[in-house]
Amino acid sequence: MAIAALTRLTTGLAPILLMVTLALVSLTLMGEATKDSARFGELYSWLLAVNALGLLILCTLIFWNLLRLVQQVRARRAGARLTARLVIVFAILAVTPVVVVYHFSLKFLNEGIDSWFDVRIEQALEDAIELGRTALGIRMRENLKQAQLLASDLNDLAGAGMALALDDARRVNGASELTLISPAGQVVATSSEEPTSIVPNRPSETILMQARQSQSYIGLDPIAEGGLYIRVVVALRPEPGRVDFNVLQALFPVPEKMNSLADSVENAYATYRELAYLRSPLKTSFTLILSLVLAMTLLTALWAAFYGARRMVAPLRRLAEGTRSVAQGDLETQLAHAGSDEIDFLLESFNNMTRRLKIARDETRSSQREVESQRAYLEAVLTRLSSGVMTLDEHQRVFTCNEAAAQILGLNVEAIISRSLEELASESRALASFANAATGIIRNADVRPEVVLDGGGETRILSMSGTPLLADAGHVLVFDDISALVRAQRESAWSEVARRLAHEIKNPLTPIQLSAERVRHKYLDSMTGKDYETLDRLTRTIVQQVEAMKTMVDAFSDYARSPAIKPRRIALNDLVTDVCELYRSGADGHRLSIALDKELADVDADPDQFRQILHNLIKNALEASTDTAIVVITRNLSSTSTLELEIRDDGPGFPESLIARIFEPYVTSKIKGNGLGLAIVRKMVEQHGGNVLASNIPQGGARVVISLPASASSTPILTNPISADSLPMEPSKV
Amino acid sequence: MSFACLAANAGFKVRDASTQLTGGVHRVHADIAFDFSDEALEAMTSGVALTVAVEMQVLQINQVWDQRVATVKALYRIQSHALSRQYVVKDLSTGESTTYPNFAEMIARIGHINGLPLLDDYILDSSEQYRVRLRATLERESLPTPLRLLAYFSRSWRLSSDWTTWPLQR
Repeated sequence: MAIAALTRLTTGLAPILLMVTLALVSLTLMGEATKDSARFGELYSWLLAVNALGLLILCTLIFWNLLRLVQQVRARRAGARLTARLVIVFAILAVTPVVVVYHFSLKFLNEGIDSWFDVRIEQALEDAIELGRTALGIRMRENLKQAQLLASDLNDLAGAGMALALDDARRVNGASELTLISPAGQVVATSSEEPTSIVPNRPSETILMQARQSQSYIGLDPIAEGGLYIRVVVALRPEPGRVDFNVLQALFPVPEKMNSLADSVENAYATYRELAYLRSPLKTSFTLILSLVLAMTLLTALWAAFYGARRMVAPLRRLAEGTRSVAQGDLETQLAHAGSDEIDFLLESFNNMTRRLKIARDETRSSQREVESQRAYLEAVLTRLSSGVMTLDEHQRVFTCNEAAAQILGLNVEAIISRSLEELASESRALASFANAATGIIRNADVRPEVVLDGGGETRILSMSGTPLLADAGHVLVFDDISALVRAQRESAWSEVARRLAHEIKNPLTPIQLSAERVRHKYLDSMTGKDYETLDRLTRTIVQQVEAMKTMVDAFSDYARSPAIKPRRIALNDLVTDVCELYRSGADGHRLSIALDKELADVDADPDQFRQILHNLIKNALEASTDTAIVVITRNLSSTSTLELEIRDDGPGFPESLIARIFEPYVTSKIKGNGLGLAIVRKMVEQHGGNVLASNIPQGGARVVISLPASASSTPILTNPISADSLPMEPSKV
Repeated sequence: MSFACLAANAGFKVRDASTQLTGGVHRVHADIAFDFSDEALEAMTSGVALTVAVEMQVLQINQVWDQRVATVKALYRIQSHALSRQYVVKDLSTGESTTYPNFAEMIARIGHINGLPLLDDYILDSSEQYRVRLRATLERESLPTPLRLLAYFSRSWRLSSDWTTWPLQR
């Protein structure tokens, strides 16, 4: 509170103007006082004190301002440095001429005062005084003679006649006063021309003593109001028998004309002598006043410098602070201004700018929110889209891609983003095919190729399309994994073929077999020798081939039938153990081993179909080589949501030329196989929502991995999933 | 003019002071030694009038501080008269001027105060105790203005005696 009040006092204009005015008035009065004016002379000391106090207050205020300015500069407050610079410039501009004027004024002052005094004038005044004394000296000697004659006349008088004699003598001699003084200093008799004067003008003891010693004294007496008088004191003759004597004092007036001239000369001489004596103090006084004026001017100029600089910098400081606020993001800043000068125009422009910036920022934020919303919406759509969407920049680098795209290409999103098509193509054969197709689309957007991604044991078929983005900013590619669709189409076609084959071929097979058996039964016994052997061999061959064809047709029938699955919760480990036990007792049982995950999750599956799956895969593995070791492995994947069943061997592996189509019907590397085993496996696995992959092991051997979703149910599992009616099926031939 | 009476160390000194009740009026008798500095004497011989003040105060004695009852200030303006080679003393209270042929007689005369009326006795409370104090000073405020500033800062012009105090006899 006190500091704020002090700040207002030290920064306000009115108190300072008032103080400066008072100080100037007092300086003026002091200047008047120096002229020895009676009125102001009395106030001189007070005026000096008031001016000194004013200077002290100004010094304090300026020091306070300076201190504040230094603090502001150190605190790096906006506008402080500019204020300091302006103060320095103003101070230099104000101080320089004032100091120059002060210097020359002081010089002129000293020279001016010195010029008042002249040796000739002084000598003339000395001469005038001496002339006056000489002129008065003649008259004084005349008066002395008169007094001495009078004294001799009075020697013979005594008693009451003395007073009358004095009165007569005074009139006769033109004295203004005659007084007879006894040796004891008592007035014996007196006579004065002033009837009201009772007490005579007594001479001093020194005069009396001198008169008694030298018989006479004569001197000039400046008697107040009466001008100059000639005082003559002479001793009377002592009375007989006595050594002491009376003295007579006579006061003779100096003629009025002479008195006036003498008074004039005395005054002029006294004034000049006083002035000459006061020359040095006068210079000091003038110098002091001039110095006070200088100090007042300097301090006022300094104050004005502070005030002006602060006033000038104030809007700029507000502007700097406003700019800093805007830089920090506060666009609500509005600067106050009242005038209409250039700086106010600048402030108004600043306010307009911040208003427009605020509007622009609000619009940008709104647009940003809208874009973010649209982007989130688009991302949500793209994330949930089964189609792969990928954008490429003008350099054919992947700019964005959704999860589906990454999944289709078998990579992570992070592994795709920012990579060029060339870099992707170098990853694998499948990605090379994708990159080639994408390049073709970029060249010609009308092309909608189907791309086969061959690799990793799985063949994917993609349907791709693309279009350039606006302003040649790149391309967007959309591709779908139509492998399942194509496979379904193929399977449907194969099923139809199998069904027709079974229908068309199986029907005549039975009559053929029956006819052959009847021919054999009817004619074989009637034949002998070579005929018997021929007929026996031919009919046996017919029956055997028909059986083989029936088996093949049954296989087709099984593939085409696709019976509905009856899933239930089973422990896959138990099922694997049961099936493997069937082979352990066989000739190749020693080649089969199992590695089961004890913590394997349950699956919802049709146990009969899964037995067939296991039979097909184990049988395939056993038939692949005569001395390979087969391992059946089960395991959970990273979470319990998926489990895997793997059958691997250390045989020669799948032929590389077939591995991509190994799950298609009639694709087999075996001489006797019909190529339906693995096709049926895949069909059944897919019916269970799973996935099957076949691949070769780099160290040698082949493996088939079935991925199945774990059961989500928490109901207790069956300890023995094998029912009485679910006897092991005959494994299909592959 | 002779200044033989001047001491080496300038200053005023009250050698003796007393009061006497005469005719119901307390009168002051004092003997004051005026020892002017060389600067003051030079100023006076140069025509500058000096004013000497003899200040007397009657104080009622109290426990905390003494209350001033009366103040009498006798002012004497002394200056030299070049034409007559006399020293003129003007009593500013009465306006009466006296001339002296030399400086020593002049300061001896003004330093000898004989029966100066101070105050009437009836003004005073008979049950109270009073004391009188007296001092002599050179009036710097009466100096010519240019000389005044110098007089304030120069010891040569700071001519004043200490207060001499004595009980007022009833």
